[in-house]
Amino acid sequence: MASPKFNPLVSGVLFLGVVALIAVLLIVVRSNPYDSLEAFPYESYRSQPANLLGNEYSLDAQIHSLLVWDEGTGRLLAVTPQGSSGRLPVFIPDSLGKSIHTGQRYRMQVAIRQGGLIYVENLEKY
Amino acid sequence: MKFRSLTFCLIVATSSSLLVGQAPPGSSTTNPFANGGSGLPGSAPSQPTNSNTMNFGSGGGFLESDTARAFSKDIFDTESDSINFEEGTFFWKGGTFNLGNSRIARARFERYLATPLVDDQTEVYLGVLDRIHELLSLIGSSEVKDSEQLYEEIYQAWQLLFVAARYEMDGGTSLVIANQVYNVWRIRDENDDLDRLQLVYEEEKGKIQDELVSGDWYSKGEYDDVQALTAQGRHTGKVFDGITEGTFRAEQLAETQLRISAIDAQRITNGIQAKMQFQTQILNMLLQRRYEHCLIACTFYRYVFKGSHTEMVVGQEQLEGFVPVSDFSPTIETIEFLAREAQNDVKVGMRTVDSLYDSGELYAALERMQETYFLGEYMPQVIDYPEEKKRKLLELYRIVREVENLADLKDYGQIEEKVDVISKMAYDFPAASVLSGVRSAQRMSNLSLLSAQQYLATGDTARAEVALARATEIWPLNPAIKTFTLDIASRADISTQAGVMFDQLYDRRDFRQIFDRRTEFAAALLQDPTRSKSLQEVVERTGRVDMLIAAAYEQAEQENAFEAWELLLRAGALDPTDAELARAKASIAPRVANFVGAVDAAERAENNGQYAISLSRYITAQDIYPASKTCRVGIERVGKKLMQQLAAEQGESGA
Repeated sequence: MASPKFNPLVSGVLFLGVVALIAVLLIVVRSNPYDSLEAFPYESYRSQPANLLGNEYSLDAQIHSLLVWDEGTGRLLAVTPQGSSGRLPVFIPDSLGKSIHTGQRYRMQVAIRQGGLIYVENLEKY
Repeated sequence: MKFRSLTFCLIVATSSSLLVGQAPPGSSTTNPFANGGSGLPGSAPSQPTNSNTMNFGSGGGFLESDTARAFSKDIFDTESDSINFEEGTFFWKGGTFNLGNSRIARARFERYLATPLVDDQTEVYLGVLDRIHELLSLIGSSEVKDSEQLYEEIYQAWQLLFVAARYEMDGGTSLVIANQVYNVWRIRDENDDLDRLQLVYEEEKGKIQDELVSGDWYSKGEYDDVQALTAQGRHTGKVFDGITEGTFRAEQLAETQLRISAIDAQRITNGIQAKMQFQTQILNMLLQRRYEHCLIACTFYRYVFKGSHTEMVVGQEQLEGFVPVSDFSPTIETIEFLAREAQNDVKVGMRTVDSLYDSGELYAALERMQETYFLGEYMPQVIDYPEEKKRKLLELYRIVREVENLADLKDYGQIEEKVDVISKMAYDFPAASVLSGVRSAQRMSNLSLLSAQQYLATGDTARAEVALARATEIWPLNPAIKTFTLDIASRADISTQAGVMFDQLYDRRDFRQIFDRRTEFAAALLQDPTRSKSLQEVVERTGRVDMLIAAAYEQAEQENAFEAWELLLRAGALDPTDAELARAKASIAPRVANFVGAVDAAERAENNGQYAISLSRYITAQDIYPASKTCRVGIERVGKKLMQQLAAEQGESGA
């Protein structure tokens, strides 16, 4: 009688299941930084930006124009948040190393820093 | 001394005229002494030496004799080339209006005009002089006087001289003649005594000569005896050579001869002295224009001196000056001739005066009267001139003198009034010329004053002072000068007040009020370069603000409220406190409230150092009005500041 200690079929199925689980976990983990953040409160920022200091938000916006660039520091960009006609100024540090063009759409992880600066900590095209 | 020179001038003028003579109007007779005595037929008539002399009045010169012209030249010196009030001359458009330059002469002439009609005393006096002339005349009532009658009448005439001398207007001149005649007679008596004494000496001289001749005859006989005895050897030949009676007789003869010679010399000396004294007095009378006395004295002279003694031994130099003829030898007749010519001139002159007066040409009459008076003030024709006419001329003369005084004071306003009065009195008065001169002076003064104002306006005080001084010098009583000086004083006061006011407004930054009073401040602060510069800046800046406000209103009218606001913002950059700008903003702001709110928030955030928020607000505002220059510039400016801030922060964190 075959020994019940090792069943290759079962082992194979288990192995695939683990791999699938890991893959799902990885996908979930990778989408969380944006998904977990609140959407940028555009109206609140325009009315009372001081109330948002220290917060982080997810901001989906289209690049409108480059306002100022300082090599080694970063870029100040005017972006148009999705679903809004108004624009916002955001700062993208050079450390993010992105090539950004006007008209591109980005999902950004932003933080409201001192002085009401919308600091882009991370971004990705979408 | 002044009077003497005046008299001398007068006689020079008189004599020259007498010798030059007067050609009647229209006469073509050539004056042989004219033109430097050339005597060439057809020579140009002598012209007045003073080309500036302008004969006002209808006389126009054709009634004016050479005498009068020369007289006028010498008495009223017209040698002035401009306004010469010191000399009493008025220079008008190339001509000189003579008002008289001699105070004494004027006073005498005025006294003459004011003198009442000749009284009985004067009539009697003139009658006495006429009688003296009659007595001295060689012609009697019908025929030539015989010697006895002539001598008798000469003596009567001499006695009448003492009568004439009692009258005031004679001035003692008749007494001078009488004394001179008496002096000659006295010297003649003295000479008679000398003749008798000389006769005695002559007789004595003859006796002495006879005695000397007798003594010589005795001495000759004695000498001959001695010579004969000497030849015979009975005498040594020696004779007595000591003092003898003959020696004394010879001395007496010499003394007697000397006395006779001294008597001769005394007689000659007396004669010469008497002649010189007489001639001197005659010349003085001519110089003093006592022509009647001069003629009487000349007549007496001819009677008391021999015909060979009529040549003038005194005053030849003066007389030669009257007659520019070489080898001229003046005589008593020459003086008589001069005196008669002067008398004729005076008579003609007074007839001219009367004619002019009757024709209403009072000004010319006054001029001719003035000339004639000084030529022959002691002449009956002058003395007898009607009182009412003299009064009228005196009235005119006084007004003319007043004009002269006003001219001295340069009171041209008053001169105009007086000229009007004179013109009504004497239609021939050259009012147009005078008024032209007055207005010319007034215009010159006003032009200088205008220059002063212009110089002052440009801040050139030194030149303004010079121009003002010139205006004052030309017409001291120019009413515009008073106004001008008051204006300057007022301006100085305003300048002080304006300086304080300007500083207050400037410190309050109330540029709008400074701008509104810019004209007043500009005039008042002309002399203050610092404030003037500040004023100019304020005016230029506020002017630009006004221009922007006006443009804003225009944009607002065209429904371009955002652009209007943009313009107002630019105006605010120039003067944010301007009241007009505030009103304009209040007017337009409701129409651009969101934009205004965003820009305002941006500016406030920028001022607070919140550059990110400021940038956000500017972008918001730009979204509202994309063409906003304010937003574009604000974004650029705030963006750079923000970037610098971030760079600094990164640098700090990196360190």
